[in-house]
Amino acid sequence: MERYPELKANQNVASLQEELTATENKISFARQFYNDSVMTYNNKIQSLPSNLIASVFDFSPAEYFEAGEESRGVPKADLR
Amino acid sequence: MICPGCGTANHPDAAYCNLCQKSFFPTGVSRFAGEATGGSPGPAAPVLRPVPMLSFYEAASRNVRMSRLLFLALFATFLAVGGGIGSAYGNVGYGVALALILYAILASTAYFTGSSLVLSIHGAREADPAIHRKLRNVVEEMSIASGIPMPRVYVMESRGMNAFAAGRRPEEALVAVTTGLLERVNREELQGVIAHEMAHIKSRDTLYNICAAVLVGSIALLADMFLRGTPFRGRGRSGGGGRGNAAFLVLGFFLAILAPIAAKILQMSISRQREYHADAVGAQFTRNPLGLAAALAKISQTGAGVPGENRGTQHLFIVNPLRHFGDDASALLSTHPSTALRIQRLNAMAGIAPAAVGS
Repeated sequence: MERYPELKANQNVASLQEELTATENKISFARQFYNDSVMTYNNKIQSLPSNLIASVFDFSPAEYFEAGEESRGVPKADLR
Repeated sequence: MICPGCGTANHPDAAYCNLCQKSFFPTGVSRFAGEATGGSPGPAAPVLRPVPMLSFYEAASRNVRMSRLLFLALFATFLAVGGGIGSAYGNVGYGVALALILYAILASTAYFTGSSLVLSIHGAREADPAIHRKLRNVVEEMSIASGIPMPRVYVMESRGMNAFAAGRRPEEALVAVTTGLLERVNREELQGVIAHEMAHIKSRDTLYNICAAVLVGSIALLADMFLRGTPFRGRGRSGGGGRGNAAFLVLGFFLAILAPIAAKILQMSISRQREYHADAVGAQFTRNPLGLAAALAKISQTGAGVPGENRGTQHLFIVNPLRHFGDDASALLSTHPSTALRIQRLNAMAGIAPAAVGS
């Protein structure tokens, strides 16, 4: 392995790439799960029969998570 | 594609937002091809029957309910067949007692050691975090997307492409994939496969699968015992009081012949529905139905064989390891719909009109 620095570098780059992709995906899936839950919750408090309970106990609709403009882009990793 | 309505990131090819269902096109493309929501209808595409969509909670509670029902049905069948066997040999009580003991052993084995049994049958080993980094990452991503705890990850040594999930509850679930699958799919496709398995876990299909497997297996066992009478040979008082109880005998005989067939058909038809459901729910997790569609296409080209494949566990897998993929999906006894039909439905979810499929 030591005699092929290029290969080693490539594998490192590849695993870094994998970690970056995974991290990015985890963030976006967490947002997605949050928004899915908000949607389910909002539907529940508006539809029968759960809305009866919701109105008695004054459940208010939740807000969707929206990422700010600056955090929507793909993060850059400068490898030089 | 970022939805202008709610800001959710969708797949680039998506035709509508997966969260708020808002269409990205002015004419409006509906979820199912062939029923466009206005504008001119597209080219004559076969209309797909929409899959009845259940929420996770509905699907999960239905599965728990069905599992209980299965255990009850199994209990009743054991009693009846046991009584039948007993009366054939002169003593109803012995038959019933034997059936109850057998039932207790089978049911508790299935419930408590079902998943580890399946793992060892198929030679699955825990995935090494160093080697299967990508696999573990994808599973973690999907556990976040589905909101269930990270399941244990296993790998099966095989050239065939397949995967399954098991576990009574989401908290103690596991997913297993073959090395053949890991080698041949890209990240997007792997995500689709894992999402499908997570959907099975989240809607408790895995619990139901274990229960159904025991039901069918043990009814077959009982029927065999009844028809051959092996465990009683030499002990029964043949010619004694047994003949008086003809009704029991006839009932037992009927059950012994019909029950295994009925149980099998039930298990299979329900299993097929579950596959469609898991495909749809999985697509909801990844927001990308095309990933799983591509993976299924690859699997159907390569083959889905797994080590230790057998009829007892065939329904656990993402694609049936025993059957040929050309087989008719509506065949009464297949555990899975045909891969072509599944791909067609996944494409429809992505807003792609189904091309000519199959043949």
